[in-house]
Amino acid sequence: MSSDTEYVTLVSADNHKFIVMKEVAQISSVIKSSQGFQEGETGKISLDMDGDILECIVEYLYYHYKYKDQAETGNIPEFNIPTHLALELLVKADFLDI
Amino acid sequence: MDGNEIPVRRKVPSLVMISTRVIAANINNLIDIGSTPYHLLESILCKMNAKQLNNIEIISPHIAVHSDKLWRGLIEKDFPTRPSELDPILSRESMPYKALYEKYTKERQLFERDSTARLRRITKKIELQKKENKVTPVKELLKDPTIKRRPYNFGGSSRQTVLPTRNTILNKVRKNLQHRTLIFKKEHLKPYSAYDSFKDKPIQPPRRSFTNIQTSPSRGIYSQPIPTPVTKPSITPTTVIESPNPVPSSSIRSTTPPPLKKRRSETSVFLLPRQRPNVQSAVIKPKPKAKPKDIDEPSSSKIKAVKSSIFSR
Repeated sequence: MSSDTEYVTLVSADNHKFIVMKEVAQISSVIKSSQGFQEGETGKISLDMDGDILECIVEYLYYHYKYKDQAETGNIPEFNIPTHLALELLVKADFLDI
Repeated sequence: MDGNEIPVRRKVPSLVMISTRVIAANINNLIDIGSTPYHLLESILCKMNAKQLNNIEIISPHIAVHSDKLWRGLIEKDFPTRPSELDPILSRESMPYKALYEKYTKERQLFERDSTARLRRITKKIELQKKENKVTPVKELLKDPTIKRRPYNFGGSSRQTVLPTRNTILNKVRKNLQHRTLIFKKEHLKPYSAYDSFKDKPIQPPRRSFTNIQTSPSRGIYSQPIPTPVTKPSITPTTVIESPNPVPSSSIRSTTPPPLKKRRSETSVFLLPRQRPNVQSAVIKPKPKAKPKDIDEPSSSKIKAVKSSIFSR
């Protein structure tokens, strides 16, 4: 693990931990703004959501990070989400502004 | 590329957008929205039907505060012919558009409930109309008694076509005559009929005579063989049609009964009766006829050759 790359830990309500790149996590403006607080020091961001929702969010964050430069030029693959999580994802995605 | 267009940078679709798209695709399965705020679901709720929206409002009342404008859209969609403007009475409601929608729904339900009765009425009416035009067999053709008809004479005695005018003098005279005949009946006066003479004597087939009959083509069917004295009278002269060829007088009988003499050799179209009853001659009068041209006619014959004609009486 390179020292240049910083990671943060996203913790779900049911104590699932997702260690993601800081740059990836900061796609969400809410997570980015939390770095100025205690979360910036600990590197742990607790989110009030279930593990499966958070997992889906993390997947989306990496999807976004991967294809953000290719969106203008080429066709990027569609990001699929499970139907039973769509409503909650809508709410959480709106909360995280992603 | 057009220079006037603002270049739109394509971005990675947001998770909000992706989620909304997935929810909209499965809108029929959406029953409970939980605590999802209204602004996120507005684009989804406006696609719902009235029943679904009502259920969600019941489950999640926080939506009902904002969803009244959605009911206006539903009124325009489900009741396009009805006005979507609120009246002052309904505007006092907490959700006026929803109340208006419910009002229209009730009216429609009442209409549908009465539609069965209405349909039955219409069907009965059509059946009655069909019955009027239905073809039914009748025993005899009856004439409409309400229509005044003139008495139709089958004998053809009325030759003139009757005019529709009622007040002519002729019609009055006719009516008078009809009334009089009803009152003063004269039965002995029979209306003229050309066939009356045939009624009294039954028509028999012409008898065959087995005597010397010399029929020559030149003479014709009316030609007479060797004449013998006339003994029996035949049909009254009034019924005999005068032929162009003069018929021998022996074939013409007078109505006055001559003495009975057997005539074997004579043949004629007109039947000679076997018996010699007193022929009724009260009505029919014998008419004198020209002298018979047959020379062999005995002078003692009392048959008078009478010229007959249907027009004579």
